[in-house]
Amino acid sequence: MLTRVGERVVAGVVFRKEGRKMELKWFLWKGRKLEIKETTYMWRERDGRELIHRFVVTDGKDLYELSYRQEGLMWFLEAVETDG
Amino acid sequence: MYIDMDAYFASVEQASRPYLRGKPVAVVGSGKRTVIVASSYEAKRLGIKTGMTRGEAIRKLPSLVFVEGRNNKYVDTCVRIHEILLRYTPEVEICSIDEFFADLTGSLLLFPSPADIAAAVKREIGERFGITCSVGIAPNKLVAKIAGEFGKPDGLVAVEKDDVERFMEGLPVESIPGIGRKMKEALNALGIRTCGELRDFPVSVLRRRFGIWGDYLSFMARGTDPFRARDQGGLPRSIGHSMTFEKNIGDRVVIRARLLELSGMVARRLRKEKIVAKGFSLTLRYPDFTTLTKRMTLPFYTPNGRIIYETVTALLDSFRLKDAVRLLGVSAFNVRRFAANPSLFGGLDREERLWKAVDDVNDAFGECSLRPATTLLCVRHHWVISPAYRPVCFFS
Repeated sequence: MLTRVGERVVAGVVFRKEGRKMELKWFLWKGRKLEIKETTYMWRERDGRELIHRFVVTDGKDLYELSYRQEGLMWFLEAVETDG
Repeated sequence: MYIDMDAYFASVEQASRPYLRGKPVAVVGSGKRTVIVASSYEAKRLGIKTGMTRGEAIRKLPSLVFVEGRNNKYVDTCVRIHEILLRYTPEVEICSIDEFFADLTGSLLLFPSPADIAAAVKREIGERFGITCSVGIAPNKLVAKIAGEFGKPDGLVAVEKDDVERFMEGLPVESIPGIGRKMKEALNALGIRTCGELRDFPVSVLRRRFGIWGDYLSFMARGTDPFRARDQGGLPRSIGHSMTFEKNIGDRVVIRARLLELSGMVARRLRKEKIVAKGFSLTLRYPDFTTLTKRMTLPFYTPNGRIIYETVTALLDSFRLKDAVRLLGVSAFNVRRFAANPSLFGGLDREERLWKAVDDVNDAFGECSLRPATTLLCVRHHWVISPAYRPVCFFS
């Protein structure tokens, strides 16, 4: 089941030198630290001038869609998908 | 080299959401009445086809999983695949969002063989995106495409120059791009079922039956690409948008508002791709799925949304609507590259300046931030692009 969230979150990210990659490691949501096991997909999109990086990640159980807004340097949890 | 992504939109969704892997998946828009724009191989095997309504699909396959399409995800993946291909050759043509042609002629001094390049491309696409593609390698685009389709899914078929006729010989005639159901039936009626039979059939008879197409068919059956000389320099054949509505629309005022919105979308893409068109068409579909299209060719080329709108509303006025409509579509065809028309007094004319300003605002603040007030009559819904959509560069 997909639930829209749209909340700003704190995220831990490694910026890789090779391949200009961003690697999400964890994020804080509802007082919990969710460790990311895998990034299943990532893509970029534009909202006008602003470039948004979107990530679908899993903690091994549920799927989360996070976005990074480059202009404001902000992370958002956009949606949670539980149990398919 | 022809590269075709396998069940592209559905594969991207399966890669994003691991729980969908191995399941029959259909990609649709957000509305209740949207049709299936793509389906996974699992769904295709069980009879799900592009264009089916949700209702038809669910009756056919109750276990089908519907996924709302994400245009930006598919467009960005296409752009990244294009970037991968550009590492092997600068001659890459994006045919549609999931199809590419790459001319490897100049790359063979740098890489061992076309098959090595194809294998490397397939590997990288698989590793980066978790999706598969089919690749066809041949001396020309026609045979490369046929070879690519032949190897689907996840295939790699290379046809050497000397093997082209042999490769084509046993293929059914409908393997040739452009031969649809009607043409296939017409050929079958002449006793032609395979490309070999088409090749051996007298051209004079084909010409009498199909006109100039008879010659093209004979060429193509031999694996010769008759359209090579007609390459449009990467120009799309047409640019169009269509919308299926939540509720049928019978009110002509609302239909006109929708046409204004669609004309604006087509015009925006024409301007973005720096092309102009002189042919425009209006498509409408009734609730019983009867679909009608009317076309008009203007005496001049234009990228102007107002002129497109006036053309399609003139086409609308020539219809006596027998019912409300469930779908409207506007297309521009007969296109060419935009060549700036120097104004007598220099610079852009008033209307061009206006549209440039509108484009600048929408580029800065997002699509439809600024749009004609009439289109406020239209409730906007998320829709999914057609797989035929051809992205231009967005991220530069």
